[in-house]
Amino acid sequence: MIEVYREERERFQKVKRFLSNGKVLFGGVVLLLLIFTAITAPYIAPHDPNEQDITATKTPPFWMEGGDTNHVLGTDSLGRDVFSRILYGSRVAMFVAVVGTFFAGLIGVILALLAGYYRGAVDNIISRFVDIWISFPPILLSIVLMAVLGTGLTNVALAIILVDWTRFCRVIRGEVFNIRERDFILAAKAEALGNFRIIVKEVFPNIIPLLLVLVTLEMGIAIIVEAILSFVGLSVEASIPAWGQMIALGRLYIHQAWWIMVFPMMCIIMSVLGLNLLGDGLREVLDPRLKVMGMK
Amino acid sequence: MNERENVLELDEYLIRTSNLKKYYAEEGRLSFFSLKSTKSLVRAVDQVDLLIGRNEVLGLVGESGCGKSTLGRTIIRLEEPTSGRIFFLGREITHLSQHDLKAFRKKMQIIFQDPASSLNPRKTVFEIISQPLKVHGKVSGKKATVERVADLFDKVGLERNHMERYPHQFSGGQRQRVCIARAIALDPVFLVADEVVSALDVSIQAQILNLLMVLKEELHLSILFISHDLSVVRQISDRVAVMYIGKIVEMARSESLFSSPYHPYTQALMSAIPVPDVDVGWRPIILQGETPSPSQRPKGCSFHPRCPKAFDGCDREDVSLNEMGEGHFVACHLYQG
Amino acid sequence: MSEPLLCIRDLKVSFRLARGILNAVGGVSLDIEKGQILGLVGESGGGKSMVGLSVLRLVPEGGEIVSGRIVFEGTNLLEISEDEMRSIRGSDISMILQDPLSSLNPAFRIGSQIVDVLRLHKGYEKKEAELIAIELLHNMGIPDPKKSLQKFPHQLSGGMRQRVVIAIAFSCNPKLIIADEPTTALDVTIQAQILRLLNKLSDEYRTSVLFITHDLGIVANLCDRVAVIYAGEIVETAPTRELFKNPMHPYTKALFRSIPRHDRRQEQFYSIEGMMGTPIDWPDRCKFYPRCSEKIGACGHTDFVEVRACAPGHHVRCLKYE
Repeated sequence: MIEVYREERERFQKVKRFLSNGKVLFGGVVLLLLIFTAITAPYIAPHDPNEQDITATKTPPFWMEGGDTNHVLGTDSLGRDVFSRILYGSRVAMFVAVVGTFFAGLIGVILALLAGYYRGAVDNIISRFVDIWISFPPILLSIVLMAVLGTGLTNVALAIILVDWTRFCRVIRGEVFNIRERDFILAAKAEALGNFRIIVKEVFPNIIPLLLVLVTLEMGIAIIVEAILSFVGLSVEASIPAWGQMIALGRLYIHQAWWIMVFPMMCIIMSVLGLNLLGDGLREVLDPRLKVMGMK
Repeated sequence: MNERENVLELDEYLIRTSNLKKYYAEEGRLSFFSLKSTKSLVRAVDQVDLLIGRNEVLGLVGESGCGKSTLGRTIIRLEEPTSGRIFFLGREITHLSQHDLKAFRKKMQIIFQDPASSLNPRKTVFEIISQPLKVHGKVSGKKATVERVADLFDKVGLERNHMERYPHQFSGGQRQRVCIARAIALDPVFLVADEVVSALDVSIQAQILNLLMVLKEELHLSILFISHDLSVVRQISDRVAVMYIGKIVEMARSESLFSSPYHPYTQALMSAIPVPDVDVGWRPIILQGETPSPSQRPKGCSFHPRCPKAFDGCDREDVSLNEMGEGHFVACHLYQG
Repeated sequence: MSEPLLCIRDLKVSFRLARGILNAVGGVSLDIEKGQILGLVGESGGGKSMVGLSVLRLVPEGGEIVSGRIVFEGTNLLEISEDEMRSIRGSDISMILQDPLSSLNPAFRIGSQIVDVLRLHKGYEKKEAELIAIELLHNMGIPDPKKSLQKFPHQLSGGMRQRVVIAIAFSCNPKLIIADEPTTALDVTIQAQILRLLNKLSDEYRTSVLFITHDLGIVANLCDRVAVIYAGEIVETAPTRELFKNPMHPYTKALFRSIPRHDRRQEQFYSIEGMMGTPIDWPDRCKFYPRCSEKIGACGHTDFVEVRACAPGHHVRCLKYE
């Protein structure tokens, strides 16, 4: 294989490479939009999401007959502004996605590093543990956990952490296995580096690309799980708007006021699609970069 | 054992191994009717007595699976020996704890075959080379570290201003130079070079070999040069040892081994290599069958099933190294008594 | 003089990458006669594998054969349809690659892999094909052929796997075999067995071989004729004996000087300064110029160096011989 050996400005090339991938671009924009909305919802939402207006229930979106530019996406059965509720709903989605993913990742990665690096008995114990945990159907497990923990936003995040850490663990462990076999780990041992340092300084940096991909995928999953939980009423209290909840309520009026359900659905779809594409794109960009570029 | 020690004066040896063994337990196939899985023993390194002197290059040759890489790693304790003893500069290092071993790690280093895999792709070469310096406290302060790394770069023929680059930005030959720089950073006296030029093109191989020779002289190094390529080994080694399924079957001064190999395996090995010369013929001694796996070592002399000169008795008794004179040792029934 | 079996003229292969178009092969011409073993020698990245793949139109994703002719038994392979090409691959022209583990499908027994090829190209019935397969394995020196048919690739050693690959390559009596570093991954004693086998088979079946390698020792002892490739171009071609006795191109000479030999002691290792680089770095003029120790004045200025005959059957691409 020929390697390309050029005087390039490394960082600039990196950024260019990321942006030139369509999926990364699209997904990145979606993610940024979500973060932006979540942070600024209280400031940009035209109405209080819980403000009920019984004189204006089930008004259609502004471009339809009977619509009102005051409520651009219409109102629900209690006269609450759909647009504002959607904006606020992103806060729930993002909280769960970020917090859930972060801690699930933390637990999963730590156990994966230990299992993959030390192998033997440590790996056996951790892997069996993961196997048992994974054998519970995830949604069922989340529902049971919510029933036990009680509703509330932090509990939703906790449920996601408890269910999804195994995904990180399994996948990262496999990668740690691969990395561990590479000669530079042996070289580090020959330099008399202790195990802890090797794991942190040699192994961990090499799983970051894979981790990034997993994080984006996990965020999408977290949003869906939250939506499912709020659909069955096990997520946040009714006073906090959440997309799943909006769908549950909107379901009853699908024929008369389809917009109550459709818009939150679209938000979920777009968010998850965007995050998945981001993950896909990241994997494309990062993988060939790690490999040597060129041809035989 | 005494005879061999007379070859190099006792004061002069750097590395000595005695009855060194490295065995692995291999998970065997689960027989349908048995409840236990069968474990077979892989005798990767089997009763090896080795001597390496100061300022000497010992070539270690053999085909894949003979255990030469394992032997190299076991000597510097990157693999834990199953039994036997290892002496370094007169001190026994076989059972030293990792903590006590640290002091020795400075003196013995290793360079691997695949430069792509032996350099952490997420670190700059500066970080890679400065790490051992920091771990062993050889330099303090950013400025001193940079100077030392730059110095090493000069020694191995790399350009100073490439320090902030990542491994993938270098060619194979250059990456191997980085590996060499890392290995000599701690001023070692002993280097294990494990197939260091095997992954490189012929014209680049020569560059790296020249570099190793220069460094050997400059830094008074001893090198255990592990390779499957006899041609390269001939050029670089003072003495050569030939391995077959975990044992050393022949060991001699380089000229002596190549001009008159005694062991039938060595003879077959040398005859098998086609010489790039149309005036020299190619009449390989074709060995029957394939090399058995180290977990299924034949009884007696392990080479006997394939040996064109095997006779009655070769399959019963094992054989150990015997001196033929002038430091030339062979492990073969043909030359016993 | 009869028509050569394979006639490559001005083959150009390019790759379209984000950074531009790279010419991996920039105008290769060579001939292979019936029953001849031609060695294609060069270092990695020089384009030799690409030439082999081009003959079978198996250039990898991203690359394309931009121009040139590959005439096999009178037909230009670059002009026929994919269907026609498929009927040639495996039966008239076969390929042996370096890594037998990836050439064989790990999910199927080796017997079925041989049988499949026989049935596809020669239309044999299953039972017939199995008998032929057993005979083939026996010819390849594989012990207990009948039992071996049932084995999976991972149950065989590297040398045995390569023999199976060779068996498949020879199964339909091809006229030409393209062998790309077939013994590089094997131990030296096994390599000797495989090279002897290849030699014997090519004699027996009267098959021509395009033997792609970086090993000049193999070339000296196996090939009838040699072509040296550097940076995507053939720089020298000659009958084997002539090339080794009388190398002309500075690269060929430098290559000979830098190979270590196990049959004699050298005091120093001759290396060639610099590196071949990648297609991006290759200029239009002489590509060896930056590393050449025998440059003459014209070398830096001439844009295109032609191939010239300097002795019977001996061609060089070098300004010193114009």
